[in-house]
Amino acid sequence: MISTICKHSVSIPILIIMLGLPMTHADVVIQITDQNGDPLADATAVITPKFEFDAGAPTDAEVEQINEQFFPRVKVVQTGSNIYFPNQDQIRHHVYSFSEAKQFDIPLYSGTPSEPIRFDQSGLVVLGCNIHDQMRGYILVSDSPYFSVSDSQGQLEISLSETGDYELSIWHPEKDQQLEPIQISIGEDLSFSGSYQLNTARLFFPRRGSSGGGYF
Amino acid sequence: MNLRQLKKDARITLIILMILGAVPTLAQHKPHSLEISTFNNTNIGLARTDHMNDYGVQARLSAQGYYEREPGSGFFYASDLALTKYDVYSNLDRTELSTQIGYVRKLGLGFDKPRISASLGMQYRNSASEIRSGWSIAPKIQYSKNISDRIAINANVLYYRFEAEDRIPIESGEPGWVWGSDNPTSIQNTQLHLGGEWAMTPNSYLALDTTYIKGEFSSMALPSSGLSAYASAASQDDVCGSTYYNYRYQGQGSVLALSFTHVFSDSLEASFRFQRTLVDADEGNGYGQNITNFSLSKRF
Repeated sequence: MISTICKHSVSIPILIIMLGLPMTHADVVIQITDQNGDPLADATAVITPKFEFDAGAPTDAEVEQINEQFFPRVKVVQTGSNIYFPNQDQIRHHVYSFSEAKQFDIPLYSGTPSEPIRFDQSGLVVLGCNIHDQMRGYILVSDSPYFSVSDSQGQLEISLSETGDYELSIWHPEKDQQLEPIQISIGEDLSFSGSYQLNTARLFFPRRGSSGGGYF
Repeated sequence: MNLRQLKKDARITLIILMILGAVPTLAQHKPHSLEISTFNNTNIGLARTDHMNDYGVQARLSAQGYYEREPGSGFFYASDLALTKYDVYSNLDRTELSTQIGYVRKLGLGFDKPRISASLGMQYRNSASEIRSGWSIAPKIQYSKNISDRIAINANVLYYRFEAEDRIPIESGEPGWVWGSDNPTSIQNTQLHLGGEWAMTPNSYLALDTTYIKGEFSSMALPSSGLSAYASAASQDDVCGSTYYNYRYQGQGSVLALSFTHVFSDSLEASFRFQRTLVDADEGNGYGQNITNFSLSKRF
């Protein structure tokens, strides 16, 4: 075991452990829990190299609407990615964003819009539906190609191709605290695992004022 | 079959078609619901009452649809069929067919933008109490808005008119009307409603609703000359026997309702509701009642 090499200024419990394993690249494994110790899904981790790197070409992605919810609720894409918004419901949606990183709206559609939306500026994009106010989705647009979203077990994995110094940023839509980036260093043939505990406050919304709850 | 019967049949058919016709393509994710309720009605000691103290159960089948014809605005409808049965006063048992159609417009794009709607509600009530059967209409204008991530408010004003069917069996030999030429349960009034909902947790909601009513009220009481002085019509009532009269008055009233809803899943929820109604409470001849209601609702 190699000593922990992270610097962080936040007052949250954090444990980063580096394991020496014979690998040609570094596998970062992070376990994220909430303040009760329960696994936290939908947390994002973005690892940004602190050296020049080749980001590669962004890939297309999808954020669906299923049962009046965005799926996945949280998506991370690389800057320049095109995202399609297929509507899998039998009802129509009107997806929009007011976020600085990307402002758009797709008025009233069924099926998959023929043109994707291009996300060409890094930052957080909050999605809504103008018919179903309770729908809320999140797209994190990253300049780095190294990112992942935690699964239902609160786990995420990121593969790094180069050694060096990186900055790890963790985020969750229901975070209830300031999150500062964490500086990490990856040496030769190392894997990297850690656990991260976040204080969260659940997001939820009234039902009146939206479809099915308040038109009538 | 006379013209009146034809019109009645056509209206009932229209409501049934609207209930059955709530196709998902025009509606929300699960546009139908079946609700089972049990309730308790308690009069609170004023001179008049619109029900006697009793328990009851209700089954309600609902459907709603929404068709947004352009971004931010569209048509909606909601229909339901409700069966109500009382424990003691079985003449209050009733079947109701209701429908509401309207147009809603959202004023802008976003979570907190308000909606304004105009709608027309119609209901046919077939009550075991013959003087309580009839038609009602209720045109309404409503404003609703999310004022924060957790709180939504709504306000509406509506005109309510109920036309009772005059079905007192004159042939039984009992006098049908004490005075007045029409059924005293035929009333019209104007209602101003203010309400709000607070999302307490991801699965529980607390709602407070208040209504001010001005216009005509119909209520039941033992006959007295004091009440008669205020009434515009009266007849014998057929819920508690002919010792009770039903009177129609001009007046004002208020309804205060507090409800708590717990959502078990996206298709199952339970709700507890307490409602207090006071009509002309300061006049010495008013009526008041408390209703507690527990319901279980399944969406599909």
